[in-house]
Amino acid sequence: MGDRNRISMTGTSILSRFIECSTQFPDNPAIFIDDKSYTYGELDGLCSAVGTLLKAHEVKRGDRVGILSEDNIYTYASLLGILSCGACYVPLNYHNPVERNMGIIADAGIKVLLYTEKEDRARELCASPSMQCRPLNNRVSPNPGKLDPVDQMHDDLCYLLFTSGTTGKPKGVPIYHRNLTAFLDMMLKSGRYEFNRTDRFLQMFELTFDLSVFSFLVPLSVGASFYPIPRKGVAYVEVADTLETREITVALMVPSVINYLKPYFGELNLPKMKYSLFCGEALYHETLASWAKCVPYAKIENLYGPTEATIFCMRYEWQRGESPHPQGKGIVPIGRAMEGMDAFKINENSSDEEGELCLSGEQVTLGYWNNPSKTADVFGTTTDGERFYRTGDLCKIDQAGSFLYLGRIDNQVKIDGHRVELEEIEFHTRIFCEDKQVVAAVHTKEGGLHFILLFIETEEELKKGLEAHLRKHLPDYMIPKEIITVSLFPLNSNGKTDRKALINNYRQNLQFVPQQETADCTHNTSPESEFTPPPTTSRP
Amino acid sequence: MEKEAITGKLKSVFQKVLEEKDITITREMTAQDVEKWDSLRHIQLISEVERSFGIKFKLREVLSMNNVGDLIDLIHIKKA
Repeated sequence: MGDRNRISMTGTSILSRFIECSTQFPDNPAIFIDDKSYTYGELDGLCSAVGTLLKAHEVKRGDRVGILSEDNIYTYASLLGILSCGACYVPLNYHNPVERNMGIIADAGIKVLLYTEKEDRARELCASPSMQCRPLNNRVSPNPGKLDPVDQMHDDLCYLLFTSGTTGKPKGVPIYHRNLTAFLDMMLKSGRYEFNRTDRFLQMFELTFDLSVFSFLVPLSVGASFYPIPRKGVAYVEVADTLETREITVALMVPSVINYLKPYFGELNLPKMKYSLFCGEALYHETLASWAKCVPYAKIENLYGPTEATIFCMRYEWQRGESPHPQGKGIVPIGRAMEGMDAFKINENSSDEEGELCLSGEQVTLGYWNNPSKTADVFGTTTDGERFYRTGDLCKIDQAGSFLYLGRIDNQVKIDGHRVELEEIEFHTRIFCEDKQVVAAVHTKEGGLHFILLFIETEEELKKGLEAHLRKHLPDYMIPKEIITVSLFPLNSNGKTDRKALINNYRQNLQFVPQQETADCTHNTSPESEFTPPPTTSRP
Repeated sequence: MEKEAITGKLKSVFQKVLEEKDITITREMTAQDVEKWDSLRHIQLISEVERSFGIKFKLREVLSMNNVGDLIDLIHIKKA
């Protein structure tokens, strides 16, 4: 059952790490946001003020506090301020549909919703009389005193994130202090990473995406600074600009970013980069080998892990000059479990090479939020009595013990690192198109750029209305890039929808089909579907 | 190439890539103003602009564009 190279851990909570840094280096820069740099001392004063504000509104241990993820210092100060009360933060993206966010507020039982400038949006989200949620402005004046947190308990909730759900409703993944502490210990105590207070971290993620937790909490644990990308323009352009102008030394990115930047690799030179880390979706060897020249002195790692196992928990250290893995189909392996975690595969037949990747260890959460049946489906106990999580990712293990990602056992796909259940798109489409046939699929272009296609059996005129309908229910990244009307769905010899034929027809109709372009995932809800999932790894 | 002609040609590129027949192009327009304008569409827009105008952008140029007006000016310089 994999290796069990656990290190002994005493555990240090995120807040005690931050307080230690702000006490030792109050004048060090902590965050650069909105064209302004804030020191540890300034951030501490604001965190402390948010904590005081929340306590005055009777926020206490175990409460869930919502936060609209706005692009400013108050948002980040709020995250630590919320934790200092013993409460849990629940980030909400105000670009997402109101109905979706209201569903999350109700499901999470959010008591207070913090905002800075988006007052109208916050009031709208708290408008339902059935919800006991109050909007609260987090634009505070800094406290002269330091952050004074209540004691943090291992079993206290730390953050609660919502990810795409197959039933049409997002599902909540709660992460406890126990899980986050294990993650931070793995990152900071294993001696593998040499982070220090001169490091500058990139923060390219929406707070609803758990890779953000690495990008802002790890720097704040070591006295380093972090640089959230401005949300004014196009993400990959902002990332490239931030990497260059801010001389970033630690960058965790989704592979999509380098797929987008590929045409400009020849002009990108980032000699200050120490760690170039990737997570969230399949990383292609060929693209990575070209990218490596842009970061000539960086250590490069491919990281893996679902939200349910706290940010990431497997690692493959990629070496310059190495050849593509012979069994990897051009994709970089996901490596081995990190310190304190265990990875293994389970399969129906012990002789099968391929199996479902499972994870156990302190980073694995206890189960889904308010969803015992889904929890029972994918969380189990090993013969040694250890709780484990079934990731839904298919894998095999090479002779050296490194894990290779092969695809999904279900219909989950990744769009720019975001986890998308195709059923959720079909669910909302079917409501709009009533009884019509619907198939959601992912089309993968050269270099690994994925986009969602939606095939529907309906009239051309309905398409416009359908997109507007989907935008009311789904976040941007789940909106199909193309809706294709099909007068008759092709059937295979079993009388089922022939998805391969659907995708092949689509490809033939493309005006321009570049070499290597493949459409490699189709899906519908029939259990007999024979689909080949896209090369993605499991992350929300 | 005159800026008016550039704007006209740009409009058809935007119509094609963003799949919006009725799109209006203004100099102040940014990705924030169009729901569909995300990273994937942006890269498609850039390469479609490069293809139809027969030009090539450098990374520095892509990074320096803040709105459609900047794009028009840049095409104007490159086509001069």
